[in-house]
Amino acid sequence: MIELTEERRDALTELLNIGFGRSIACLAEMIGIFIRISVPSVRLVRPREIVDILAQAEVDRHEITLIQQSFRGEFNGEAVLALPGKSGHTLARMLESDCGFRPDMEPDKLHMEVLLELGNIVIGACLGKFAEILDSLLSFNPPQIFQDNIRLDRLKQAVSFPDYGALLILTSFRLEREEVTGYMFIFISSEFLETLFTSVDRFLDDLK
Amino acid sequence: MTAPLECARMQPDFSQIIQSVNMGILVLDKNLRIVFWNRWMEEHSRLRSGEVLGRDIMELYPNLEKKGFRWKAETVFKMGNFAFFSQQLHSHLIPLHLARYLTADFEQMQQNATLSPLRDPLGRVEYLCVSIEDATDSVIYRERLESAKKDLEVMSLTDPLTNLPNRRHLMETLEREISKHGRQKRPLSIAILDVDHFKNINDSHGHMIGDKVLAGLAGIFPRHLRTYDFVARYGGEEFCVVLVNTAMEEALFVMERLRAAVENETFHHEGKDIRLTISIGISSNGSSGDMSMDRMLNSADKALYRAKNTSRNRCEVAPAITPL
Repeated sequence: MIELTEERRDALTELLNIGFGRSIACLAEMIGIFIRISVPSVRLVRPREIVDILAQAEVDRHEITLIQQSFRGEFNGEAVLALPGKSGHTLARMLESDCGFRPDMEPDKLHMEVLLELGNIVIGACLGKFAEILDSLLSFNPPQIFQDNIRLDRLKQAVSFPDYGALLILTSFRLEREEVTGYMFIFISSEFLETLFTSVDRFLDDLK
Repeated sequence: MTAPLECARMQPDFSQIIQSVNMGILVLDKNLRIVFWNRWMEEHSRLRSGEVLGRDIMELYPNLEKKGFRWKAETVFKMGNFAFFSQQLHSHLIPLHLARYLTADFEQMQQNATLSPLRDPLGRVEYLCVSIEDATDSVIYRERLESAKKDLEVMSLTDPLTNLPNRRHLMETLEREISKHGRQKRPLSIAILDVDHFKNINDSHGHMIGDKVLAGLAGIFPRHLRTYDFVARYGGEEFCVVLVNTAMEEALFVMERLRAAVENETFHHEGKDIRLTISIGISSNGSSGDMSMDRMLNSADKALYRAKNTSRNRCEVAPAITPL
């Protein structure tokens, strides 16, 4: 029952692609720049594998900004937006100048606030759309930020992964002109996979 | 009459819950006009529901404009996402009275606030719910904890007598600098200095004066060292200076200047004038940039020994290190 069949994987990939497409569209609209995205990859992983996967994704460039947000509903999990190198700073600067979100705060706090809001919108838009297509609703906890020289060896401590297996969804985006890349990881704990797969099956049945 | 209705008549009115929860709940329409204001909001804002219903929240609380509230509210209506105002970044969303009186660390209640979409049966976001949690207590505890932690950190790395970094701090710094300088093939020198005949000061003036002299000596170090030199109490009457990006020749120049300054200084304690001198041993990581902490300390120590055995009040340098 809780098996990631080819059919389920394709459906999840497509649904998340729609969700991610929507969140990137929101982001692109805010900063007015074309953003390239990759097709999400969906797989079942063990927590130990996650750090290796992050390493393969070249996330480890000494400096990285992580924005993490957990969600709950029919399925619980957490999403992490990873912005390697100067990507976080560049994106925050672009948002501050272009999108009209200009709260009156000290520069350091403003920078954090903008990054948190960026993560909140990208993660919320993607998962919101994904849940909506599956006829479900998600609630979100406040996003958290991990910044400044988080190295991969500390990533494991910074982001709390469940002990059991998880569904990992990995996708990335890149801004055309600026040196900005980003990755989004979504973990859905295995205890919720049955519910999730039931929803996916129902969605597939409706298509048939 | 059917059974379910009977049942419904027996049940208490659960909508009371929203009035009795320990949390502020208010609802806004698309024009940001207030359409709901729970009792908690009444109590903490001192504004009755009847006074605020139908009013534009941006007019009622002009500070919201500065917090980017309008922008976030628009994203909730447009995209149906959640939005947050964290206490750590905003301290509060709406100025509300404190619910505690004994400690007045803050003028306003500290808050975490969440904006969430309220949907009609077709899934369209028609209203926006703002929920506000009083975070004042946890903020006070967190701040106390953080300040205690900071004090402890400083204490664990500071020598109480001289207020200089202690041996533990020295070891940590030295280990880090040696590895950094080794990696980047940059010169690094260290100097161990020892007060000459310190036992005599203790014997003739007493330990109390001896301690004061050590503290006074430590106090003049910064004036005669460069801003980026790191000086720590190594133990007893011994001190250690870490000279980053500094080759032997320059290190000798800096330490010789310090030695002369100490020689010319008079320490006054309880009407007594006390003069003292120091002996210094210096070692460098050499051109190879490759040296362990133990080897560096060891060769500086040996150089110090030679300074002590010749005439004291002098600097001695360790012979150039050849890599192992």
